[in-house]
Amino acid sequence: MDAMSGLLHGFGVALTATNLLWALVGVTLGTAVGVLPGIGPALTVALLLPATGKLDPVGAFIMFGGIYYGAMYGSSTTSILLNTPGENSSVVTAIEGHMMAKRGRGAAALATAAIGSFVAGTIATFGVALFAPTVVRFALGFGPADYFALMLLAFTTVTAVLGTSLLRGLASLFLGLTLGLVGIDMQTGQARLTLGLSELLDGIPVVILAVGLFAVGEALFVLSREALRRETIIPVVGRVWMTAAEWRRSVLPWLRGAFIGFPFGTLPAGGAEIPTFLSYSVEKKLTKHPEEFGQGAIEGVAGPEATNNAAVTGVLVPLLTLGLPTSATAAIMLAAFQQYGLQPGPLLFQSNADLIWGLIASLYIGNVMLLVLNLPLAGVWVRLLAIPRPHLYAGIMVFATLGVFSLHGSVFDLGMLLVFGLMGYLMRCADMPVAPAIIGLILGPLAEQQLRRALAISQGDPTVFFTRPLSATILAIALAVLLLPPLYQLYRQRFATGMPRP
Amino acid sequence: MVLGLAFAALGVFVVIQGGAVAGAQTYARVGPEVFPRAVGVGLALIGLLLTLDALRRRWRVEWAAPLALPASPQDTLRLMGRVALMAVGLALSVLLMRPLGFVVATTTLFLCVTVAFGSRSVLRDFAIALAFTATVFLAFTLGLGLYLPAGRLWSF
Repeated sequence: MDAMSGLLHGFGVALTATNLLWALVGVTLGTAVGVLPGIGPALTVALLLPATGKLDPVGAFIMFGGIYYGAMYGSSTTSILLNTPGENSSVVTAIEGHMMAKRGRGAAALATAAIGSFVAGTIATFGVALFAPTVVRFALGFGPADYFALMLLAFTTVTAVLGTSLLRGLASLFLGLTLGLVGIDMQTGQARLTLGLSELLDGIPVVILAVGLFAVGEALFVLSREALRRETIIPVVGRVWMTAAEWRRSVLPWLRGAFIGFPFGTLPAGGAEIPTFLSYSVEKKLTKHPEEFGQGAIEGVAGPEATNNAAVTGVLVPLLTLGLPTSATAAIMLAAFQQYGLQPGPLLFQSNADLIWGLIASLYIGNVMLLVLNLPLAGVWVRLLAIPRPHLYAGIMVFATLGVFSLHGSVFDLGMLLVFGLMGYLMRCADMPVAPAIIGLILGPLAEQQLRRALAISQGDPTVFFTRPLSATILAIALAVLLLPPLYQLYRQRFATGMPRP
Repeated sequence: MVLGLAFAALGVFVVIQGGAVAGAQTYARVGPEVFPRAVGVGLALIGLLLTLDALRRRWRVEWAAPLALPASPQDTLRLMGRVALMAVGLALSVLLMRPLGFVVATTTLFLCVTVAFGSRSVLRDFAIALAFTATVFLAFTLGLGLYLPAGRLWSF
């Protein structure tokens, strides 16, 4: 199906009364949970995954699309008013947005973020509809060797981009890979690393790891850091609407953001962090008010926020067409697909066209709903920020328990949640990024499967990865991502010490 | 440093455990033991490098950071106590889930977390916790049709 007819078909699926209702529920829940400080999009999606358990796949994914976008909106509200970005890609929004809020333009900052997200999200969703079928046609020719190479690339970019140290990123990734080994081997049916526990035979669910690391680990970490617990909410005062000048200054950054963010999102390059920083520096260069940057420049909110939304939408292209998650949130979305026995990839576009195009169409609808919901209701969301910290975290813990327990109704899973929570706390204390662990857990088994399939086809000949032009190219890029930054640093150090400053 | 060594140890463990499943011969020549071995070796290497980093003081683990710096041992201990209290709350909720049910288990958890975060009005929190968890219980069991344990001790 090509893009246009696919989209029309998708709208046909999404525009039924029940599916519209699920989209609305998803958007509302996503925003409400995403607004809560300390909860980023990944955790929002993980916590709300069990709530969709009783729905049919199409309805569930339409609700999921709403949650995905709602969580992004909610998180930007938190970073503007509280200066506590829920994830790395909202860091830039927090810089200028929080300064705007301090100057009494918080409402305008929220508005430009909401409209910018809408504009960029709409453009990017159209991009997904346009590019996904092309990628699918291309991907149908991929062999196991190519998939394996792509997954290695995703591993390296995710570890190299996130966090401060490559080594610690790798440590986190390998922890995830190890957890991914637990359970029955997909090819031969043998139990591995289960320590003799029958509960571990099915493997470790990604949702438990994500909730453990992001919710429990994070709460324990906040407990141990006194400085993190003192924060002040800035009340939204002043004119709710943006002024004409603010409109003029926002429009171009929105559009530029959409075109910076989408391509980055589609690349297997670690999601939305880099493009938001890129957008910020672009806006800083192009603005007519450079003196305002750092004091609350509206371009610094409009651009990065639009970029963020375009990038997280772009992430759906590799996720849906190749089954390749490139952010923690996408990894949990992939887990959601697996929960329904679906494996995203080129074939899904044929076998489940309803679901895929319904999901893409409902992203449009969700975007419109969010705009309608967020501009007038911003005040309501802000009130959620005022929940006292002790009760907020206690409530999050209750929901974490509920979400994990209702996966399988197993107390053993709750025990795992505690263990992963402590692990998350250790990792945060040790300055290790947690997202690579989640990607490792979900992609590890898939990568192993492709590796062994490729070797089975080539009858054990490992050169298959280097003789196929596509996989050879991808592997070369992966190696470059891993090796270039340290080499560059070495070069700079040499340069700095070898040549005295003039 | 301890953490680095722990990583190395985990790596060795994974190699041994992965090797334990070897035996079944497949045509692929790459059996189920190969990937675990590779991951285990990787873990061990990373563990060694982390240990080196720690020894060279380029990587340190900060267990708690009180507001008043430099951190006195008492302050650090006080914060670690809070972390422990919350962990105990989670452990209690795991243990209580089957015998006493969701509401009791999560109310206990709720209270432990609020106290750990420095809330002092325990009675008021208790009321909030009970109302909150009971609402959640009813909403999810009756509204969404999910199963949550009511508690074995209460059932007749």
